[in-house]
Amino acid sequence: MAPVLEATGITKRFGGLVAVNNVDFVIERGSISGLIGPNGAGKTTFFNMITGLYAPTSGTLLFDGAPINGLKPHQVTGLGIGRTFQNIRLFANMTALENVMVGQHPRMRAGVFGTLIHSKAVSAEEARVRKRALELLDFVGLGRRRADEMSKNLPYGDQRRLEVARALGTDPKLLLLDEPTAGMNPAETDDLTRLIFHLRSNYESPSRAEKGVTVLLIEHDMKVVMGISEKVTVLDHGAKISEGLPAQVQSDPQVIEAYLGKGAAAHGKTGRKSSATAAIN
Amino acid sequence: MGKLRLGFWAGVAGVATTLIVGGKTVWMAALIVGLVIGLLSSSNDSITSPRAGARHGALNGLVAGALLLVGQLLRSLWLDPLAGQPPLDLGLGDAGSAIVGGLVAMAIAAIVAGLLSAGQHLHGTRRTLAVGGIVGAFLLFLPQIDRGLGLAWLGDIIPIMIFIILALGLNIVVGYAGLLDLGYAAFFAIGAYTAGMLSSTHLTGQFGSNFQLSFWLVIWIAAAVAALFGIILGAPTLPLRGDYLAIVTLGFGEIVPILFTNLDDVGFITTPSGASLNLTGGDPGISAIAPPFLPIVQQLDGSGSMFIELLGFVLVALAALYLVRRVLEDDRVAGRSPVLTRIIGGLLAAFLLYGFFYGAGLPGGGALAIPGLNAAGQFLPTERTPWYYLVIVIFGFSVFFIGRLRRSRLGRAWMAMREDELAASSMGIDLVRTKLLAFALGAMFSGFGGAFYGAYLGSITPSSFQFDKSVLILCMVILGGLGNIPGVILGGLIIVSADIFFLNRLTDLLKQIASNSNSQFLADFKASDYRLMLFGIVLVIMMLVRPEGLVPSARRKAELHPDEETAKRENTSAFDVEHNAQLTTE
Repeated sequence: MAPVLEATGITKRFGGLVAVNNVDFVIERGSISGLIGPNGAGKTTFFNMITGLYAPTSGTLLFDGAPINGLKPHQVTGLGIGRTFQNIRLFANMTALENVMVGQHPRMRAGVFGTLIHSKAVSAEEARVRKRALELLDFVGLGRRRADEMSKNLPYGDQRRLEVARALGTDPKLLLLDEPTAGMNPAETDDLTRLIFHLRSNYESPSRAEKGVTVLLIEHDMKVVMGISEKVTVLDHGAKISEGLPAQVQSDPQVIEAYLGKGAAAHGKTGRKSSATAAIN
Repeated sequence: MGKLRLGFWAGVAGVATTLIVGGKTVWMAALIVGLVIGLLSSSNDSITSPRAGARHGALNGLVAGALLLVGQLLRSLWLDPLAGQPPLDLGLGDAGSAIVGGLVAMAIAAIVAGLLSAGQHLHGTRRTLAVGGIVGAFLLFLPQIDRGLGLAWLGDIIPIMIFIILALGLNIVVGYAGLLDLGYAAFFAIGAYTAGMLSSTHLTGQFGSNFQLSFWLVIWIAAAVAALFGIILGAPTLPLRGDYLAIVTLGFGEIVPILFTNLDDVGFITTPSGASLNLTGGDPGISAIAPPFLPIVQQLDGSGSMFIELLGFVLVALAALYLVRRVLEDDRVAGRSPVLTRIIGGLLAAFLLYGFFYGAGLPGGGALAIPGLNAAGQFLPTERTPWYYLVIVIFGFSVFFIGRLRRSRLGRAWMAMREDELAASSMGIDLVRTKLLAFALGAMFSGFGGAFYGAYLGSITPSSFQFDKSVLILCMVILGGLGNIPGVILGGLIIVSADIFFLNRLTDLLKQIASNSNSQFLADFKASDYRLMLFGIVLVIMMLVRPEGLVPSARRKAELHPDEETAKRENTSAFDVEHNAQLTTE
């Protein structure tokens, strides 16, 4: 099968700064891929190019075989790329249920006229979307009793889950998770890791026959990335420096150098303390 | 005390009315105070049964009624003699009449508040029927009550309703979509001018014809034109947010009345008489706008528009039929009783049949003339009753449809956009389309309001649509509670009635007192001069004390008072505490 996403020679310049430099990147269907790199490596910029927030300066992005360069974010979402955000961006003053219903926006057709007269199609769609939203809340483990809670009143871990449910509402073929475990305690991190595994193979799309969804995640927490990714890509200073199985990447001297600095790579010294260091060593 | 706060404040408003207006006002005030208490009691979560609701309503009604009694005594024994007015006279002497009148008012307030409050805490259809029945009966018989008490309030109530419709429209733009619009009166003007141009001979007269369209067609056209301009004026503001958007809309709000002032001499189009086209009538505006005719299908002055009117009528009738059927089906799906829908549908059908037979000149129609209309079935400018019913119908439809929009895909998209534009677009929401729809639909309701306003006044001038109107409408939305329909209605009621009702009556009262007591100070004091100052003070106090508005939506409240109710429900694991601390320091 053709890969879900194929990026060729992607470059993004902000004035004189090259944030992403000539990166090739492929995501296989049904896989969980990880994108890692030290702070400022260009991971989020790359992410934002896939989701349409930035247009690449050069290079091509193929999603499902069709180019998505320069499309608007809502168009990209409509094609089947769902995302979450590094710093949670739920609709804080809407209920959990409404958040997931907003997520299903691109899969709805109700227009102004149909809404005003409540045509049959619109009422049926509204009922369907509500039911689907409840199912998705169940699916990510939030359960229905939290459905009418304002999303900002949910505990932090639940807010992360709700963001995943909302992104699944868009019925994605490719789900992009931007540091999904940031700020979580170890127990919550484990739960979310299980959820990512679970949805990768068990997500049931309302529009496609086959189960599952392809996942791309950006992570700082090495343990998470190494634990669940089938393929890891490492960016540093905007360029791809390594790619492959988690074990290969972990032992790649270039990666260790990028994370820990030259001396550390040569002598095996411990650099500055960070979760990355701990995980790699 | 907290439980009776509602009754206290409603009573204070009632006392103000009684003191300022006098006569049999106290009973009308009691009725309205009772209704307000009953309606607002629905937001009280601690009431669980209709019985508790009745008790809560009646108690608050009694408190308000007691205040009204005091107010009536003050009015009868102090203000009326001071102003040289005859006090309330029930044949029991001044004091006796005041006490009996006050007691009757107390009973009215308590009974109405109790009944309505009980109805608010019934379930399902019974609640809809009870609340709808009481409020509907009040609205239906208001003109009769008004006449019976000799108050002549309808002339003020109609413009109040128009402004409430406008506020509901602005609420879509500001409350739902979060786009601060400081030039909303521009759309009001566009609706009114569209109606003015089409249903007067102002334009056609310059081309030697007397063609004019009927109000029933024009109101739709005006709404459509206003919506179109909503899109045209909304388009350049798309990339803007917050302050910048407000400034641009402010500009539009200034430009439009100036355009209407200056488009009275359009040089590049000449009329058959050789003069250049006078599009908008300049400073004096457009006058002699045709009022609606009740026979909906009506040949206007040999203009030959009968066919269009008939077509329009058939379309409206079909649309109404379809709508009623749809609502019936919604009732069925949701397991609600269809009684209310059937009643409304029946009334609608009777009205449409009446309009057709009467207007088509078929036998049996002419006999059913309605009071307040002349022989040809025209709404008379002097008789307010038919106008009142018309504006109530437009208001009812606005509330119904805006409520539907709010609970739809589009309504959710507006709110999502208000909360976080970036996240909204990442959820597949087309920001351009969603914003333009907010502007267009918001403008559409002002188009309805504008068309009615033009027909009601019979003439329009650019000066009626200045910046102060935009601010007035915005104040209504903010005072009542951004994004909440009952709140916006209450806010509108308070602000516009203060503006066009209370301040004028207060001026009258002070004038009477002045002429009776020869006080030069009072003679020079004109209360309506202080209107803007009063609004300013009210807004400042509101923003400090209760920024979410009088009847806030649950969301707004949560937004502005994060520490009160929500804190209790928050998860308090060690992590959450730490995280929340972080959030507040950011």
